Parts: sequence; structure tokens; C-alpha cells
Amino acid sequence: MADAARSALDSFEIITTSGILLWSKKYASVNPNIVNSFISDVLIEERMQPGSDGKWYKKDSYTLKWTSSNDFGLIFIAVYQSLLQLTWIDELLDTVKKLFTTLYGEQLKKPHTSTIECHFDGYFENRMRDLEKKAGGPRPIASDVDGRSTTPTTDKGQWDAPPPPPPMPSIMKSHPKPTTPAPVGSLAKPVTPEIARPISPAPGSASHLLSVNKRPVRGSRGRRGHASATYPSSGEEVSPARNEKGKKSGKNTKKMRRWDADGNAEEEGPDTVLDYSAPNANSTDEEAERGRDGTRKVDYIDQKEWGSKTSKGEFVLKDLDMEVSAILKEPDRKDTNESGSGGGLGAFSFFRNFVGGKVLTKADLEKPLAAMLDQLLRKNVAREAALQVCDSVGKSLIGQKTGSFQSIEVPVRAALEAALRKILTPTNSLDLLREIQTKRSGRRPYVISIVGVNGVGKSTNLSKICFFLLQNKYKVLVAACDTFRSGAVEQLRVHVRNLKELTEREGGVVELYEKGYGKDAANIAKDAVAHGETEGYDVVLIDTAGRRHNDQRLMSSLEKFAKFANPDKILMVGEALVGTDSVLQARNFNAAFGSDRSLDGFIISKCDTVGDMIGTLISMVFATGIPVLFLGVGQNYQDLRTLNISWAVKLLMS
Amino acid sequence: MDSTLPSPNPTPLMSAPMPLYDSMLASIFAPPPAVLIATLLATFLVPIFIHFIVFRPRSAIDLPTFLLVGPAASGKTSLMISFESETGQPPAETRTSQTPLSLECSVPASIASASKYRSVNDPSLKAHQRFLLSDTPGHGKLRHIAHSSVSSPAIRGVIFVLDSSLTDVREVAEYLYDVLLALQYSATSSTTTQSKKLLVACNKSDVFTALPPSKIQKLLEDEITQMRVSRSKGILDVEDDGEGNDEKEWLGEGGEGPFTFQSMEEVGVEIEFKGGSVENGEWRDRLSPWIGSCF
Repeated sequence: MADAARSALDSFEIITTSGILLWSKKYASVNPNIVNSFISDVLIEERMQPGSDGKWYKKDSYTLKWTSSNDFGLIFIAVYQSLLQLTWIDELLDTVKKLFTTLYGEQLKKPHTSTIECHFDGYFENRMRDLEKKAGGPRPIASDVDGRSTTPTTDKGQWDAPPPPPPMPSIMKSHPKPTTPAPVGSLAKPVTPEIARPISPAPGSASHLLSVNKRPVRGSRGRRGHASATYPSSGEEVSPARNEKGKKSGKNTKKMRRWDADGNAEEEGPDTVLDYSAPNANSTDEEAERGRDGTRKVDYIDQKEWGSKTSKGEFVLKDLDMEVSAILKEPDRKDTNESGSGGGLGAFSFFRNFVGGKVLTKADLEKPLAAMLDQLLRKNVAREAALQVCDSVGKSLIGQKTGSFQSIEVPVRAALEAALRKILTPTNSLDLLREIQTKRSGRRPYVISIVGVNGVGKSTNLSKICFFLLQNKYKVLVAACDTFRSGAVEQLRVHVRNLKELTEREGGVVELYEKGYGKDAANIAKDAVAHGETEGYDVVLIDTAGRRHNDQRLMSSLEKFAKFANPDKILMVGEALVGTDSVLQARNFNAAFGSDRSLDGFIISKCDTVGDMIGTLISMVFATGIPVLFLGVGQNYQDLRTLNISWAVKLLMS
Repeated sequence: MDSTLPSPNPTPLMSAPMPLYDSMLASIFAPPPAVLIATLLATFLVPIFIHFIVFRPRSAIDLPTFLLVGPAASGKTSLMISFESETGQPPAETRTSQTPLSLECSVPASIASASKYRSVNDPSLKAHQRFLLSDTPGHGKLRHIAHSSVSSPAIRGVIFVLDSSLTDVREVAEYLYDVLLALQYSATSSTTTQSKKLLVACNKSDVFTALPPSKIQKLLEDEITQMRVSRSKGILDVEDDGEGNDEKEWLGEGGEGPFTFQSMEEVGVEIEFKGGSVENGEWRDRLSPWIGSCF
């Protein structure tokens, strides 16, 4: 089974958001570029692959699944061959995330550090085997697969039942460290994640077990304290006791007894030992309580039998198992605790709203995010885009801590600002002049074509770009490929005549290439490019007919057009006035050019008419990931601007 | 008798408030143990709570910071980590960064520029000069993080890391152009005469296709010359009124001729080129003198 796992998963990586590979397990060599392109495509540019719904990422016959932990800035990535259908990857990711953050959370919180001490291999292997077994085996415990919450119960079952369950021996055999002698001497080791290993090996005899009774208690308490200290939420003021109290008020009386027992461990010596043996597997859950009351005796005997039956090395293994399940249990407890914090810790969290240092939960974020959503909608961002932006902002904030004397709105605002900035920032440079210089190879002119819905200002913006190019002393040919609407060619002719007059003095050369109405636009475009090549033009600007983005008949001709004219840049004009429709416009036009061609940029026209409601920018860029090249800000030829991202973000947030 | 009777009467009247007063006093000065304990606990624990709420661990003092910038996959994160470890060996692998990260590093104080005036026996020479090395994401969408911090006064020097193979000169030059422009702006607008320092670290020199630093410098200068022209002719951005910010846009001194990194010194930006390889662990030795000179 373990071998099967090895071949199933190709690699598992734990990386920080700052790019450091903290831990990885490689079963086969995987090119790091796969993970890198995943990070830049999905995590930075937020481009979901079609159909993936943000759940997986496929690249070069590999499939990646991931989960992230915002509070620690960690990303957990599993890479496997796309051919395989692995159902347990999600659970593996979740459990590994819990394990890793619990074990090493403390170290990760330290500032200015890049590396952490981690010996995670054992824990990971352990989880892998478990999940593999569940997925592939005859499923002795079917309920286990459903959820993490039930896992510890099974573990307890394995631990308490006198005859070890069937899978146990194989686990022991395949464990990497079965031969390690139990380090009895190092009992007083400081509290580390591996503390359970030196402590709980029951070294053969019951008397020995009794003699070390105090230490295990301390150890287990210490470890629990350690774990709770790593809760990002709790900080220091939430002691384990309060933790438990806050969670289950129903068990209050028992809790108190438990603490008494801890307090006077001497008088209840044997109890505490037994107590330790059970709760270590299932730290402080209900089963432990029951175990302490009723099945205490049985536990004790079990422990003894185990000790005498098995070798020390196997105890080491058992502890790892136990520890893993204990840790997996604890974050659950934390979750319930956090959600239920309205009760016992309500006053405190209220206090934190003002003082800061509050860990953000989904509930906390709901209100400020709703406000942000309103804000975006007011700025004319399409609802779909606004919802998704707010969603991703919310996801990125859950688990983070507010700063001192900071309300929740502050980080939400900052995160939204960063998200908007990220959306608008282009991945590549948009210097059109430089691009024309470098891209022009041989005699073929640089071809720019302009598409868009009817009446958004295609011809106007084309002539604005033409004016800009003419000022830079380029020889421009304007091709009138709108063979559909009456007056379209004449309109361009007027533009060209005007531009000629305007730039004659500066040495600009511009001509119109027209073939009248009714002909096929793609052919005219092709001829225009050929004409431009023979006549030595630098740039060919192609105007196209406006078309409704949901008219399949008209849109389908664009693919042929892209193939015939083969433009270096296809720009889409969208007007700033459009609202919800902008997302679909951008998407449909982006998809219309066939599978291997997409839009290269947007021109957002009529920006001067909307004031600060420039949400269309966000909607269009968000829907496609294609940058805004120019903004149309007026009626004159020179009223073309590039996007200033700070300006846009400022307007959107105001 | 009559005369004696009233005399006890006033006393009860007088002492009528007394028991209340007394009991109040008594209860104040002899509180039940529970109250006492609660009060004591509150007295001691409240300051501790407040301390933990308000206090956040942070580095004790503001260390001088060096900023690592450069395009993605040029080796910034590896370089930073190789600087942190004593041996200078980088970790096996890194991945694309999404967030900035600062590491505390140190160089021997003896190489700091101020140390040349010290006696050789000065014990402070044996100390280590500590500084922060700050890595920034190189991905196009996340460069604003670097841009926003390039011109901050805490930055002692900027290290621009690039891949010596220089497969995409344009992209590298564009980023370098933006960084230089920001440095120039902050150098000319600041009141101090101290010049800004930039080191172009030509990383991955061990790769077969790597170009020597001098060649890289030449290529970048050519590219920036062209870029400077095309940018000055480009379309204004939407916030621009088109007046009064020529200095902000034009890189280097006013002349139209070819751009040289040398000419940047006139606007207060000192640029140095160095080649090396993270793989071979060379950067620690090669960067230390430059870092020392920046203190």
C-alpha cells in the first residue's frame, strides 16, 4: 500500500508565500517550473483554468492541488500525474496543513527567519499511509473517509482495543524508525513536537510506568499548552482551561475535576497516568472524559499489555500515530472554540475589536466585506466581478490578526486595495512604441486591429491611436473593414483627412485602405496588410464592424479575421458606461478569436463621462486578465491616456 | 431616672448610622477572601493581559535595509537565503515569491566604510554589522511592493538581481528603468547629498549561456537609451496634466545622447555591476564589500 502511495503522489511541497521551500517530499522528480507556473497563474494572476473551479491546476500531464494557510503564509501543494484519480488528496492536504501548522506554527511566527527546524517526514508518511489505506483498502471504517472529525475516534479504537487492528502490523513494519530504542533517558527533554516519543513509551513494566507518572502529566500538559499557544487566535490570554470551558459548557464539572487532578497529581498518581494514556490519543475530547470515569481500569491494563507485548521501537511508532491524531483533533477544537467564542470570550473579542490583535474569522469579515461590496457596486463594478473580488479578499484575510488599535475595516480596506491594484497591474509592459520597434521584423507592418460592441467608439479610438503614432513619425495605413454599417467608411475617411492635415507639418503619413461595403472583412484586412507591406507602411490599423458579443453568427467571423489579418495586437474597446454586461463582453470577445489567440488589451472609452465610477475597468480586466492599454478621456485626438493604477485604485476606494 | 433615660436615647440615635458606617468600613477593610483574591488577581493580571494585547514582537531597532529587486526567477530569494546562512550555500530550491520577506544578515564590521578610520586593535572591528536583506516578489503584478519601498529612507542600497543569460533584455531593462527612475526621483528630491546606491547583481554566471557583466551592462544601456526615447514620446497617463514633470520622467541627465549608467552618478545614483552565482555560493563574498561601503 505504501508503495502504491509512493507512485501515486509525485511530490508534496510546503512553501511560504515568500517563496521558500520549507519542506518537500519527492517520489518522482518534478520540474520546479510546474509549481512556479502554478503560483504565478493561479495565486498571483488568479486565472482559474476552465472547469477547475479553483480546485486544481493542470500542467504538462501533472495535476496540482493545493491548500493555503493564511495566518502562517503557507501553501501546501500536492503534485500527481493527471492520469490518476486520487480522491484522498484533499484530505491529505487538509490534515497535513493542520499537522504542520500545529507542530511548527511557533517557529513560523518568528520574524526575519527563513528556515525552520522540521522533521516532518514521519508525520507525513503516517498520514499518507492512513489515507491510502482508507482509499484503497477494504475500508474497515467507512465513516472515516467522510471527515476528519471522526478520525480520532478510530484512532482511539485502535489504541484502546486489546487486540491491535489488522492494519497495525503493516504500519509498524513500514515505519522508518522501528529500530530506534525508546529514549527513556531523555524524559526531561524540553517541550518539542516530538515530546510524546520520549515520554509515552511504556518501558516494559508497570512499575516503571508508575515511577515516571509525574513527567508524562507535565509533558502532556505542556504539550497541550504548547499546542494551544500556537493557536493564532488565542494569544496568551486564553489558557487551555478557558479554552475547554468556552467550548463545552456542558462538561464544565468534569473539566473542573480534571484540573483538580492536574493540580494534585500526587494523590491521584495512578489516575493521572491512566489519564495520560488515553487522552494523549484523543487529547481532551469526550471520549477521554468517559475513559477516565468508566474505563480507566481497562486502559491501564491495556497499557501494560501493550508494554509487555511489544518492543520499544514499536512504541515509538505508536506515539507518532497518537500524536498525529491528537494534533489533528486539536485544530478542530480550535475551530469550534473560535466560532463559539461569542459566549465565554464574547466580552474579550468585543474588546479586541477596538484594541486590535483580533484574529479575523469569517463572521467578523462579513460586515466590512459587505460594505466593500457596496462600495465596488457603487463604482459600477459588475456584480459578478465585485463578488469574486470580495470573496478572494475575504479568503485571504481569514486567520490574520489585526494590528494594535486597529479596527477590522483597516485590514479589509488594505487588502481590497491590494487586490484591485493586483488586478489592474499588467504582467508585461505596455509600451506600444517600444513594442512596434522591436516586433517589426522585415517589411511586414505592425498590425493593430480594434474590435468591440456597437457604438463604443472603435473608430474614434482608432483615430486617436493613429494620431499618437503619427506624432511619432510612423507611416500608418488605416484599413476600413467595417463593410456593414452605412457611413462607416466615410467616417474613417474624414478622420484620415483630419489627421493628415493635423500632422502634415510634423511629417506623418497616413492613408485609408478601403474596398467599399458588403465584402468580407477578413479578406480586406488581409489585402490591407499586404498592401501595407508593399508600400512600406510601419503600422496598419484595422477598424472592424461593431458586433453584439452574444451574437454567435457575428462573433464567429472574428476567428477567421484573426487568422487572415494576423494582427500583432487585438484591442477591444469597451465603454466605461457599461455595467454588468462588461464581464460578458470581455469574456466573449476574448474567446472569439479561437483557442490560440486572445485579446491583447482593452481601450476603455468615455472615461470622462463617468467621473469616479470607473468600475468597468475592474470588471473587464478581472474577467479576462487582460490589461487596460488606453483610456479615452475626451473628444479630441489627443484625449488618449494610459492607465495610472494608483489613480484608478484611489478613485475606486474613495 | 427621667433625666437618665434620655441620655441613652441619643446614643442609639447617634449611633444609628454608625453600624451601617462601621459595617461598610469593616467590609471594606476586611473583605471576604474571595473578593480579596479576585482583586489581587485583577490587579496583577490586567496589566499582563494588556501587555499581551498591545505588545507585538518586533525587531528592537530599525536595522539598515538592503532591498533585493529584479525580475521573477532571477534568484532573489536564493541570494537572500544564501546570505543568511553562514556557509553561503543556498537552500536546494525556492519557488515564485508572492510576498516580501526580510532576513537579518550580518557582515563583519571591519569592511564597513567607517571602519577604515579605526585602529586595527579596536575591538568593535570584530563585531558584526547587522542589516536586513529584504526580498521582493519579481512577478509583474507584484512589483508595486518593490516600487513602494525603493525610495524609502530606510533603504541603504538596492540590489538588482538579474539572470546573466539575459533572455529578455526588454523586460529586465524595463524593470531596471523603473527602479532607476524611482531612485533618481528620491535622490533629487531629498535634501541630503548622500547618493543612492544600486548594485546590479548578474546572477547565474555559472550557466553556459551567461554573459559577462560588462556585456550585460552594454546591452542594458542600449535598451534603456531606446526606452527613454519611446517613453518620453509615449502617451501621458491619465492623472498627468502634461506639465512640469519632465524631471520625473527622464532618466539621467538632460542630454539626448546614449544612456550610460555612469551618467546616473550626476543625479545621485551610484551603480555598480557584479557577476556571480548563487549556486556556487559566491555572492556572500562579492556583495559584502559593497554592503559595507553603504553603511
